[in-house]
Amino acid sequence: MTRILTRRLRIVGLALVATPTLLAAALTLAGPHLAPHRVDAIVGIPYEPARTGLPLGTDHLGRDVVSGLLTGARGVVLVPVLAVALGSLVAVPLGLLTGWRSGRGSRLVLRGSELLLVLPPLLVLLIVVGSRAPAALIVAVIGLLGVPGSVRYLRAATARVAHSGYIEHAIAVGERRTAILTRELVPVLAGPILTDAGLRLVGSVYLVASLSFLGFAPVGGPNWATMVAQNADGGSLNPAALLAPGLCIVAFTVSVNLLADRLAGRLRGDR
Amino acid sequence: MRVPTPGRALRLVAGAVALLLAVSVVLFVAVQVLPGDPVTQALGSTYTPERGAQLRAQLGLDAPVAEQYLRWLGGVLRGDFGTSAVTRVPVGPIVAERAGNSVVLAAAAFVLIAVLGVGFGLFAGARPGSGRDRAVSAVTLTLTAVPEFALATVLVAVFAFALGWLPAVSLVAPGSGPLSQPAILVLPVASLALYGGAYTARMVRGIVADIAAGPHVEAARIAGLPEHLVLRRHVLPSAAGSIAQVLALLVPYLVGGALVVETVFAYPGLGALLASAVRARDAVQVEAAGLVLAAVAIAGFLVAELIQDRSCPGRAVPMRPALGRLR
Repeated sequence: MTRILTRRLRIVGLALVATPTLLAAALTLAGPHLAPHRVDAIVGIPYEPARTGLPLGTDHLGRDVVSGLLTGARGVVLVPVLAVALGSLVAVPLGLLTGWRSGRGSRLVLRGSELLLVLPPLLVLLIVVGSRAPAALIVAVIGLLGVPGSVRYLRAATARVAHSGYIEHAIAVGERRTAILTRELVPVLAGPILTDAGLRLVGSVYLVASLSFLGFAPVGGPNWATMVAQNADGGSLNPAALLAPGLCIVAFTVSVNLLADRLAGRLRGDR
Repeated sequence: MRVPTPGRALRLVAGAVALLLAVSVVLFVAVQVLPGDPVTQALGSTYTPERGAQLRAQLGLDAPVAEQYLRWLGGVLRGDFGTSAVTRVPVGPIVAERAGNSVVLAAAAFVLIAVLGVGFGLFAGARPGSGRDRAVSAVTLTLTAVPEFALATVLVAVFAFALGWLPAVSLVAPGSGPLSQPAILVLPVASLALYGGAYTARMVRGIVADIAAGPHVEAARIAGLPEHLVLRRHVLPSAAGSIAQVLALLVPYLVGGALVVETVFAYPGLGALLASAVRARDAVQVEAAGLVLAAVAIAGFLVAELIQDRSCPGRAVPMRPALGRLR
């Protein structure tokens, strides 16, 4: 009986934790169509408090805050997801290869990737922005900044299975290297690969949000983090214009972080 | 504890210097060479070929790139960071003043983070799996998820706008230091310390929990040793090296955190200088602030490596910013 109860509680907890992430994902797809006003439409005076028709009032230019919130999920969801996908393209092969074959090349990759760990990611990104890099390059750099950590993580996970019998069997049978990687290692390591991507997503969301807040959003358009920055001065006139996007960011980042942590915990065997 | 061999210590220091040089090359190329001609931008619509050539000669931009770089690096080593093409004033004194302000902010945050992080980490890690451990872990996990700017915004909304206790911006009067009005430091330090303290507590908790599960600690507890003595005699000595390393790695974190938090509060530090210089496309200021911040981060990392070398040879580094968690 209590077991059923704790299990139910666990499901409720998971649902609570996952809701902000699911909502942000849904808004990324559908948000702009749900917005009552065009995002750039001036519907009132700047920092107008809530009134009928404008449930959260207006922002620093007199635009509808609700429409901004509905549209602004995109800026903090799409870029991190893209960056994580790009990062995985580099991190997964490197992690598997270095974990499987511990030769000189592997050591070189590890040492090289450690160099990237030394500098604060935000510092690196600001310098990239300062070189007037195009948006695509900024996204790629956000993706690459997570790679060193991932290589270490995936390498450890790979090393645990690489020396078990069946990989050696596959080698003995004469399977080719790429076949062993894609057919033998990737399926077994699906859990760690997914968890690693989740943890990298946490970091990417943080970087994209902070960069946007500083005024360097990689892609234009409304974005929860830029809304916080732009409406900071009107906090006493229309608090909702500042607090609503702020709470959206907090709920989203906490949710993504807790989900990634659960994934990692499940893999470690915690219950 | 093992003292690092002089050879290895020397190699680490040389590696750090080489890395800093590499960073300086990349920084110079990225900021000075890639974005195009700063002179045309600085002069804007007043640009004429003669004026351009004049300003270029004045700023030393008519030389080959390699020569420009070496001249810049030579200047940096003498404390001369060059003259901004945007503001037309030497950058060195500004960087020095801003760096002083940043040190005040970062030092205050460091002390608070160390006290909170080590305190809560010990408190939770000494009894892994207990109620207090789970409570601390849940709170710190949530706190480490929130970006500093969002934390800062919430703090400002509550303590500056709603309650009116503290200033929302941390302006420093020219000629005076931030310490002349300590109130302006409270919210920036709190914004840095909430994340940093939570992260440190998680790391310390992990280190301590590993040791607390060991047989010698169990034996001491069974023997009836009071808990504070168990901690002081059996847990802390083995944890000290790793904890010191965690604290050293706070330095690179504070460099990154300062970029955001100083900007939120308009605090006149080096991080805010870098962000505003990027915005103003001021290449010379970006180089100066970027290089100093990178040097500080590398120094923190170097100290962490040296500590690791001393206390736990061969043990996996616990706090490497793996998993994309460290900012």
